Amino acid sequence: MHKPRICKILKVENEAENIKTVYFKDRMISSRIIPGQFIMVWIPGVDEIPMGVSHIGLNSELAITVEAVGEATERLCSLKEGDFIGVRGPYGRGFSPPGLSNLIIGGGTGMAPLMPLIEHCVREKVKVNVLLGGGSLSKTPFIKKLKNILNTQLECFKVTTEDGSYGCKGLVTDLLDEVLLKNSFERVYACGPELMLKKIYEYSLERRLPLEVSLERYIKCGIGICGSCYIGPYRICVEGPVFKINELEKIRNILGEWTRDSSGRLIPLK
Amino acid sequence: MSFLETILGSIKLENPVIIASGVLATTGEGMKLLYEKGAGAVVTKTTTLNSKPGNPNPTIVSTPSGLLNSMGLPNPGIEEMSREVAVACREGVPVIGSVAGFSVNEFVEVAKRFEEAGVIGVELNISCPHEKVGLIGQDCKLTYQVVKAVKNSVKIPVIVKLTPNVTDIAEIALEAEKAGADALTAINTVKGMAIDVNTGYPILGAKIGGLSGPAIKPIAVRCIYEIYESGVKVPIIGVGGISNWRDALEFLMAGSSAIQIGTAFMKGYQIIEKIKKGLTGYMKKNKLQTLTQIIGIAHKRC
Repeated sequence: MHKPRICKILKVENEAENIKTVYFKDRMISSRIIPGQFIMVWIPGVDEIPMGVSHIGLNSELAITVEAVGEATERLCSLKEGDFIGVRGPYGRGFSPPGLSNLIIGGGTGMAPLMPLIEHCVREKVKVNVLLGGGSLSKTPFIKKLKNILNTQLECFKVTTEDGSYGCKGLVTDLLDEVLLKNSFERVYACGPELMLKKIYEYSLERRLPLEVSLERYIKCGIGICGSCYIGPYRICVEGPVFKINELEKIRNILGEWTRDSSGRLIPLK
Repeated sequence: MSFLETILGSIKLENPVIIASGVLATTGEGMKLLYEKGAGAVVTKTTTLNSKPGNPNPTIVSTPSGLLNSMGLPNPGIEEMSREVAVACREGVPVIGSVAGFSVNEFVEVAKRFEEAGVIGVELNISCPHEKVGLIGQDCKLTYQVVKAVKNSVKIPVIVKLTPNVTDIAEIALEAEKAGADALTAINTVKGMAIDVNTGYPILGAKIGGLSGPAIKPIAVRCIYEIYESGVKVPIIGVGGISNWRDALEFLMAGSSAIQIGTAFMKGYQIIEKIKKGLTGYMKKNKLQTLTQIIGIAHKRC
């Protein structure tokens, strides 16, 4: 079961600078996955990496959205239609089902695992508000896709870029007051850089918001036995990657402070 | 004395269920959690002097009845690991430090640092199947040298983890005992490999790995039986494919005084309590008072 299944790449889309969305089919994953769960993607001869799924479509169609930042992700981004990857999963705990009104906050490629949740909200015809942050217009994924959805159903879609090349200039967390003071939400979901999530967590704690975040750590086995992805008492690959706000209490002191490299060494995040 | 108490030389454990090296005990908090979930002791991830990133992924692939892994001893190095261990030891967690090195001196240095951090013993990993250190455990002379050097340098018990990837495991066990080993752990994983037939690529990043889980249980039981039969006096810790209390019982009957759990954690932490509950039930049903009444009984039946 925990063995890569080979799939043919159906198409590759340019999502933003150095960011691509790779489409493939896998019935095992598509029939079980819930938004927020992750899969292990094998690039034969190169590496195997954990990836959030950025699209859960009909007919077993799935997608991952990859930023070229290292050897494995660069190779993934260079793959073409007809090439092969191996996949196993889905793994971990995903997001709770959306409520009647939802706020979704993504930072850069952190928006990837939130995309199927947005697709789900649209299908279920529930209210969805989206905040997306990025460095600049050219480096921020999903803007076009989200704008298309906006035409149909997104209640509010706001983008921030650090250089001001699109949307508001600044960080996505700068928008929290504006959006949250005007609305109340049954669910708030977030994924992105850990410092961003830390800020959203502290903000949500103060205002008792029903937050769920997706965290990231170095994952090797993906099935909860190797211990490489611990954050406090939690294994990201089993108890995570999605955590509810009350569960974050146990890792409040670590969140946004430390991560671990592949050896398990602590690496400061700031 | 509780039903499940067991003695490993000078180490006394509340129960015989130990967390095998390489599984989950990577952080102080992880070790604490495993103890809270009922483990009798926790063996750390194997630690070397300097940090080691381990092998490239995939480092794990499942087979029909077990897992193949080629983790490659990823660890943050003894300096950082001793800090993690100290966190658990301060809370009273019985931690056994798993030691590896690329020289005899490295083994000694890491073992000493573990001792300072407060562990109850060290387990020498001379048997990792996908690392050069694994070669030590295939050679009587090297095994003797490493065990002797560590024994001369620490006061805490020294456990030696043996590989099944040898012609005669009992021979290595006796050599380790001669060098002063206080206990033996058997077995480490069995060398194996998986190839993806669609692409022709070996799946594991390191190509060759170690097989664990139900597939290797009969091999492990046989190894323990042979070691016990060879006349080794020190206690044996059995490991290899234990997935339930009946498996654990089989290992005890073959001659293990304690058992280790690794791959079975795929089923979750509750495996620890399930094994303890099953063993307790068996002992009550058979009106047994201590585990010593079970340990090695298969040898008397022959």
